[in-house]
Amino acid sequence: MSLAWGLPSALALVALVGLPIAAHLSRRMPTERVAFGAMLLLRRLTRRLRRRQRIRDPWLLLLRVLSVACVALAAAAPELSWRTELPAVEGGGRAVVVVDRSRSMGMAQTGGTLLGRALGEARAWITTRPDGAQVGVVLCGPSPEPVISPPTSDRSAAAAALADVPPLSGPCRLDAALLEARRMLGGTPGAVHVFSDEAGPAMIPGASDEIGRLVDAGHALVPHPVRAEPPRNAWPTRAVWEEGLEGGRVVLRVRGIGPVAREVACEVDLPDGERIRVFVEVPPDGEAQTGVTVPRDTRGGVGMVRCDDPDLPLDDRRWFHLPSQGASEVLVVDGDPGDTPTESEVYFLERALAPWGGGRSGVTVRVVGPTGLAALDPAVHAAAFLANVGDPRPFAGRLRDFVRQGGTLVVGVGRNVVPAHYEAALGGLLPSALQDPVALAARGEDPVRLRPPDTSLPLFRPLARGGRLAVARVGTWRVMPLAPFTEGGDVQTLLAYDGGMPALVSRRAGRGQVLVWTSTFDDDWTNLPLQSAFLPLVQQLVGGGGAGGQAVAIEALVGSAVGVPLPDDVSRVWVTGPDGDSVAHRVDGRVARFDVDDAGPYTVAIPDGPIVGYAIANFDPVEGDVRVTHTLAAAGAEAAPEMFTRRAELSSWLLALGLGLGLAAAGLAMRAPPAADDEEVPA
Amino acid sequence: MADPTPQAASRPEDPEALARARQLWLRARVLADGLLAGGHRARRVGQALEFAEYREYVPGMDPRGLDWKAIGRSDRLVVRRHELETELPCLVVVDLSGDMGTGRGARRAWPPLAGSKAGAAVTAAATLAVALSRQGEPVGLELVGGARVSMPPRRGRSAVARVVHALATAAPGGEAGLASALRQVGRRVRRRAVVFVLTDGMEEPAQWTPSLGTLARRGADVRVLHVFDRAELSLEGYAAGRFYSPEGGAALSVDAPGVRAAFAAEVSAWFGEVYAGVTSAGAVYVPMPTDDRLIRPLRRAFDAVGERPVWPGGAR
Repeated sequence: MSLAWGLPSALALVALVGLPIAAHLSRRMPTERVAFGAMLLLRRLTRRLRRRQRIRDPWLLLLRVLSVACVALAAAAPELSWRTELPAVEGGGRAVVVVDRSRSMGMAQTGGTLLGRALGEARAWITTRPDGAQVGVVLCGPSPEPVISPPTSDRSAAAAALADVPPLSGPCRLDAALLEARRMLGGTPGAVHVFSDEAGPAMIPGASDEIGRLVDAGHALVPHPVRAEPPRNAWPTRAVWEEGLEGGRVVLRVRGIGPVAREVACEVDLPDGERIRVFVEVPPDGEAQTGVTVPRDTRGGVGMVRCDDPDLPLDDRRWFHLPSQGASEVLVVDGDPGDTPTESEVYFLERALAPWGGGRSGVTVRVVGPTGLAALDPAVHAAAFLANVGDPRPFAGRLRDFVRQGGTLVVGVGRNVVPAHYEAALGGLLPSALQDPVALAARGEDPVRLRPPDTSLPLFRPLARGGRLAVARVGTWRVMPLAPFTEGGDVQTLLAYDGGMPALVSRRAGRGQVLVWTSTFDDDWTNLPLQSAFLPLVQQLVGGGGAGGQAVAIEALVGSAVGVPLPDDVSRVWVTGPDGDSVAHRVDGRVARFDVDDAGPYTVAIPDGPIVGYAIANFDPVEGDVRVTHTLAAAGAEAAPEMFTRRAELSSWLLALGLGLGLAAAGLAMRAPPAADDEEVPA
Repeated sequence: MADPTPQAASRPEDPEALARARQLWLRARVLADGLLAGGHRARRVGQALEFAEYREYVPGMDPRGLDWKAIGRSDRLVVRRHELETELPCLVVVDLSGDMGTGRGARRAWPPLAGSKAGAAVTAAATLAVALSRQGEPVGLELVGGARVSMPPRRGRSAVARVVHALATAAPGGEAGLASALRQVGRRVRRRAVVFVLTDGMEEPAQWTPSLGTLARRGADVRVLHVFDRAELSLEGYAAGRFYSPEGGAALSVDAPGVRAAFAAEVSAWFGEVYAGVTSAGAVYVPMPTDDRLIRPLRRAFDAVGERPVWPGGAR
């Protein structure tokens, strides 16, 4: 609001306020002296009246001063101007109605939603247009939807286009909608009427340039705010998995908009279907955080958080990635069940992997026969031990997928192993072809020792304190050597015998790896299971491959394009959206690229194979802020100040006010019982 | 009793004073005649009695004389008989402070003080002195104000003549200082004396009325004649001007017509304070407006019949 003066020089007349002040200060006193015998009573009366006079006199002076000031100011022709939200627009021209159908317009109101109210007001506005006035309609969402284009004089058709329009879960791109409206208006000056809650920090600033272009083209922008009073919303702004006790925890952050604190009930849906309920106390216009502990053996995948909010349900869900947990199963395939426990590889592996039982070690060991490989699942099993399995060929494909998707395959040889079958089944995955068994020493003689390991390797880091000598005490009498191979690249010798023969060799393949132990996991060919180094070594073999079954997870915002990295040898994938429908995509090198248009999990899977990646799409949490931080009126006023300015002449009002104040002063003066200054008189 | 001439008490070298005294004497005599004329119940002030004897009651006796305590003791109807005490000193106290010189007609030159409160008070005091003297009572005078005069009660023609002369030659002025003056009178007055106080009471009632109690506690019969001017207290005939008191103090610029209603409320409240103060001190209150006939208030004072003042416009 601002004040301008039509005749600023007349402000000098304000100096006339000095006249009543001077008159007040120099009031003429009566001069006739009267001897009076009841001065006692007159003094009493004066004391009483003076209390009243102390109040009366300043008011009288104030009224007189204000009266003169008002008249003087009126002579200066003041004009008051202020911003208005609704510019004056001619009603008979072309107009385009833009209705915001963004997520915030779904806020519940008495008898419906904000969008319902906006649609009703827009329909009412259209029906009151004069005959012949042309009206177009654009619905504002992530992309503009011109439902009545070009503008038509059929008002009923335009109004009907605004019936039964549901709110979208995405934002309103106001700039695109205004651009569409400007195109519809063409070169003829018209008006764009925007029915919107103006909520959110980004919508109006993002459209400021387009608003400028609109008014520059001679069109008027007329806001019709449809606001929730007060705006209220509660929505999850963050849901992530973090490491911690048990299977880690899902950290949940909930934001609240509204005048009061509220308790929000949230549910965390884990990938395996388990549902955990939690209540979050959200402060007014604030945020609160809580966490839920994930059970130890929860399967990895995509989970969802849903927080109940009756005000605005469209943003109540948020998805998160839950990686496969360290407690995933280790599959031990027993290829040679022995007569006694000490003759069984499984006996030693079970005790090394879960010395205190599966429930306490974090590792669940599942022992199966070779046919059990049919259940091998990278999402469930972190590692698989082939313990003296004779023929892996029936499960070659599953073993290959397992390794490519991140699983760790540990091969232990023995009497049953046929090198040719392994070469046939896993030829591309093994570091080198297995050879026939070779005796390094006769049983009873000194075995061949292992060289101390390189403890800088992650696999042997737990053996850094004295463990190296424990490894060196491992003696081996018989081995199934690998054919000569070249170190480097994906192949690495991790342990070797004295003399240099490789003992433990790894090869990375896809996201997983294959480890070949050239001797047995029981004490048939080696004393390894009886050495103290056995337990940490086996534990590390599982831990080193602990990412088994992990699919890549990419966080994305709705409306963006994402790229999900693929395993090395994958060139074709299927991409499925949150609703289960196939999503258009392209594989660019080793990355699957596609657009995410809706919130939820997008899965990337090998055709008829396992899932290799996720794109987890959520809305930008900022969009849940339904408070009004910018208004169209302000943006419009910035672009076209004259259009959003009202003016009022104040001269006549000030003149009337001055006269009224003058009359009031006269009335107050007339009922004044004067009693004045004292003066000492000699007796 | 032959009337004494004022010449007996005045100084022969002051003919104007003698003329004033003669005029006052004549007026007082006329008024005293009116005051003592007729079959009034109490022609004599001296109603104070002393016990003489008990007598058997017989029909025809005044039943007010029955002594109920004696009846209770003797189981017979007994009447208490008294002897009349004739020696009853009377003292007239006249306030002649500066304020008493004002009044509606106070500015007239002749006769002196005519129309003022002081004039009315002097005339009333002289009348009382003459009337009391005719009853054979000793009469004294106390003038309070600028010129203090103190004459103890004396019987006889010459004593009355001195009182009348003193009244005729006195002029109002100065401050009354009623409280201290009455306290001084109280210290001098005898037991069972009658004290007439003529004043306009223009001092804070809470200050001077308790001094009346000093007199009453010494056994004096105090009768206050409250002298006031109706025009002055109603501001009738007064215009706006600088109002001042002849006794000194602050002058005030007053629009008399504008404050008339508010002033009436103040006057009414003040009358109430004076009446309450006088009566609570055990004295008789008699209002004496200057525009009324003097005989009426004088008769009330003589008979010790008090009256409550009424002033219109009491609400503030």
